[in-house]
Amino acid sequence: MENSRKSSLVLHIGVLALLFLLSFILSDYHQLTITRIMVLAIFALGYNILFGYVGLLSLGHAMFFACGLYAAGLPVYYLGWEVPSAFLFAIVISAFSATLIGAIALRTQGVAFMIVTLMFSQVAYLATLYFSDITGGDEGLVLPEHARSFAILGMQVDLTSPQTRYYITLGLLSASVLIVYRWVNGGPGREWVAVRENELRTRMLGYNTFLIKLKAMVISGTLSGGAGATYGLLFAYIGSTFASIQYSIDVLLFTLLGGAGTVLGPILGSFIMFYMIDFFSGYTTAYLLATGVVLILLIVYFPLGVLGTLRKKWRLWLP
Amino acid sequence: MEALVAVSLLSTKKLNRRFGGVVAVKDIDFSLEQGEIRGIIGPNGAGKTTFVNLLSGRLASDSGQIVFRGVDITGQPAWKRARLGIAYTFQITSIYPGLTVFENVAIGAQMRSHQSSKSRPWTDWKTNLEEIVGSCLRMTGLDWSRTRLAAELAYGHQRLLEIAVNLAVDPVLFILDEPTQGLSVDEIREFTDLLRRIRSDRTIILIEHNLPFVMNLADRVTVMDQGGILAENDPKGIQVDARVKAAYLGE
Amino acid sequence: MGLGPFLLLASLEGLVQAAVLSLSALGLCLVFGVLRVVNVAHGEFHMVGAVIAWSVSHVLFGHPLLGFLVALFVAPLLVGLIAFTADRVILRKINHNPEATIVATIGMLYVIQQSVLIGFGPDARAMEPPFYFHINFPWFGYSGYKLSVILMAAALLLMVWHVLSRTRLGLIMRATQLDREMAQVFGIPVGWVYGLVFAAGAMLAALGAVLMAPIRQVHYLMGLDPLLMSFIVVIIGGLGSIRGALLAALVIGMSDGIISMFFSPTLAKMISTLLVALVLIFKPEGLFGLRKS
Ligand SMILES: Nc1ncnc2c1ncn2[C@@H]1O[C@H](COP(=O)(O)OP(=O)(O)OP(=O)(O)O)[C@@H](O)[C@H]1O
Ligand SMILES: [Mg+2]
Repeated sequence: MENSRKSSLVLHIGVLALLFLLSFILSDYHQLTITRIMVLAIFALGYNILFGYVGLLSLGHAMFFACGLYAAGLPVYYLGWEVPSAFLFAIVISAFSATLIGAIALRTQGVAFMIVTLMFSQVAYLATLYFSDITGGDEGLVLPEHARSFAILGMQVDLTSPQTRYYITLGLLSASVLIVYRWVNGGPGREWVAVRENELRTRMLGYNTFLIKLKAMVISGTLSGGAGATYGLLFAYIGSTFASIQYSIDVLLFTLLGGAGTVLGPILGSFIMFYMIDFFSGYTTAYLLATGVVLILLIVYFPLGVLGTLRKKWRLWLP
Repeated sequence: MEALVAVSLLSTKKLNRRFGGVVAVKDIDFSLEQGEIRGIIGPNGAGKTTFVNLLSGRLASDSGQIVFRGVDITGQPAWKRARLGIAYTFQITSIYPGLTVFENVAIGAQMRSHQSSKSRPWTDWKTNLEEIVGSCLRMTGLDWSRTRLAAELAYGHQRLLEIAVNLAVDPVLFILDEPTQGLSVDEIREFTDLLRRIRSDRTIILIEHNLPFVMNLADRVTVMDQGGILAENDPKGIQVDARVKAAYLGE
Repeated sequence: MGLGPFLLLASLEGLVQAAVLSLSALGLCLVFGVLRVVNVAHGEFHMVGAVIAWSVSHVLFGHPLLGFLVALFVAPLLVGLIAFTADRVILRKINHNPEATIVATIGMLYVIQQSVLIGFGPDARAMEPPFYFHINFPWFGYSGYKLSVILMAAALLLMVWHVLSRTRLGLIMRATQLDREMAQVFGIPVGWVYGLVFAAGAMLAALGAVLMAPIRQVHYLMGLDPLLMSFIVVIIGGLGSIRGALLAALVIGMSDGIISMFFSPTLAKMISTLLVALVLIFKPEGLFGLRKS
């Protein structure tokens, strides 16, 4: 077990190192694409904590992504905040709203939880449309020039450079992967999985399962919100499409495809699905057809996803 | 000091619980002494499971009071009662089928290390956990199965595993709901030995239909019928009790 | 126009809305009641029904009434066929597991919607009403077709009620709903019943769509609204309770018509969605307390 633990840590670090090395050979265009994918991967990483490890299927995670997006973008746009402080602010606000929404939504479970999160998220989406005087609604807002660079630790960071954005995102992704890796292999992960596998048994052993779920929801929502903030700040655009149901479904799809309940699964899923959609949208405007077909095939024939299936088949030790 | 008076570990007063029209538990006054093994018997539907569910907090009582180690726990949620030391194994085996035997027990062990090592550093905590798991697996004789999936175990071993998971929490009061149900004669014999080993410093409530088994182990036996307590005595006294004979043993 | 006539107009509009809504909500409710699953693709069956209605009335020459009447049969039939196939091919494979079914029907939603986008195109199209006939109130004229929608919906609901409560088919459905295993023991082909009920739910949505098509524009994205509205109705009515759902459809259809005359539709949707989510959390048995029926 110790050995397989070591090799799995090497695998995770290897994937991150590979992404780092890619930055030297990729064109600007491809760097930009992968930057986008990595932001979505952080989103999926956060989603997976709740879905993959705790077993709660949320259909409304777009609201957390959008929460981070707006909480970072609006102060920059209206109050002239600097990028770092806007980012931190977005993290705090995301954690706060995840706590609030979790405390209410976690009174339900199963199908009701899915519907409730879907509805809350729809309310948030409608709110971004209704307050379009402020949010810019569907058209969105383009963040002003001052937010395209910032100084930190005496360094000037230029956000218009694709390399810079790539490295920032990779840094955030790496940090998220390592933190999540550590958690799922330690005490918190054991509690999450215990709730997923048998909540009643877990409660009867002395665990406050509601609190465990709430904490997981906060972590999950904060990571998702962090991804949203990153997206808005790096690409200098905030708009209500990011709050739409579509994004909640996408993140579910990424996670399911790569393998729910594995650390690397959501990242893998984000890459595969992004390129698949990219491929199809070259041929047809109805590229969402691919989303639908993949979703059905996954749930019927392949519910463990790519890494989940590998893990089961070869009894690999993958966290 | 302790030997002076037998301390009541747990007591209930006028405990009630109904399901729609059915009164499953009716005005039960019950008292349990520290260190005893108490058998609870009674016909199907007598309310045994419901009664112990009220004790463990899996179900809420409609009225009445439960006191555990001097603390009124009536309104407390199940997880708090478990932390106070009440453990419960279900009538229908409840484990983590998708996890390994080691992980199953580790979940219980983590609960204890959490409680006992708030001040201890992280590394200590981890070795501590492995030790607890190891000793619980050895005690239940499941050491060989560490890396197996719980779902792959035979039924009897799954029941043992549920005991091991609960042992890892190191409970004060252990409630076992029909633990021998579905076990073979040999398994029951081993199980009897196991309970003798477990009991050392624990109090045990044993719900059973297997009368020889319970009469052999229990210090006292409570007989339930139709939601109430019909009789309470030592095993010998129960066996000669006319009312019990009529209602339950009565052939 | 004074307040009185204004309210009359609003109530008429609300009644039309309620009529169509109760059909499609009844479909969702039926599926939830018997299969214990939520069909997220329900709105798409509505949409396909409308698209078929438009297509039928488009290819049939002659009086629009002819096209309408043909559509009234063809649309539910085709939609029912699609739904039945989907149930047998997809949902049966996942054992109608509630959570997996939601994910699968989300997939179906995309597949249906995007297929229609490919076949029907992205434009909204208007369908000619089967007849032009105006009823003149002292204050305003009102479309006779809309009034007939109310009557047709009521007639259809009566038919459904008759099937559910007075026929063998309804009995089999109720038996399956009460206890799946028991039904199986008594030789009811539960798999088929599931497929048929799933199809019936979709057909009700399609019927509502045919009635609605001449009033609203037909568009490949039109399914979202009926889906959300039906959700709301089914939750407020108490999950799986048919009488509760009908009552809720009436109340919500009526008030939606009136509310949207005073509030912005976005705000109205926002508030109602939020309230319904809270009902689902804090009062999952619904607001009308008809759960037992
Ligand atoms: N969740 C429930 N809902 C409705 N009625 C219940 C429920 N649980 C128990 N009952 C009823 O309460 C009564 C007592 O049941 P209980 O399970 O406590 O009996 P028991 O003594 O444990 O029986 P057994 O020996 O069969 O396990 C029975 O009549 C039973 O039908
Ligand atoms: Mg029992």
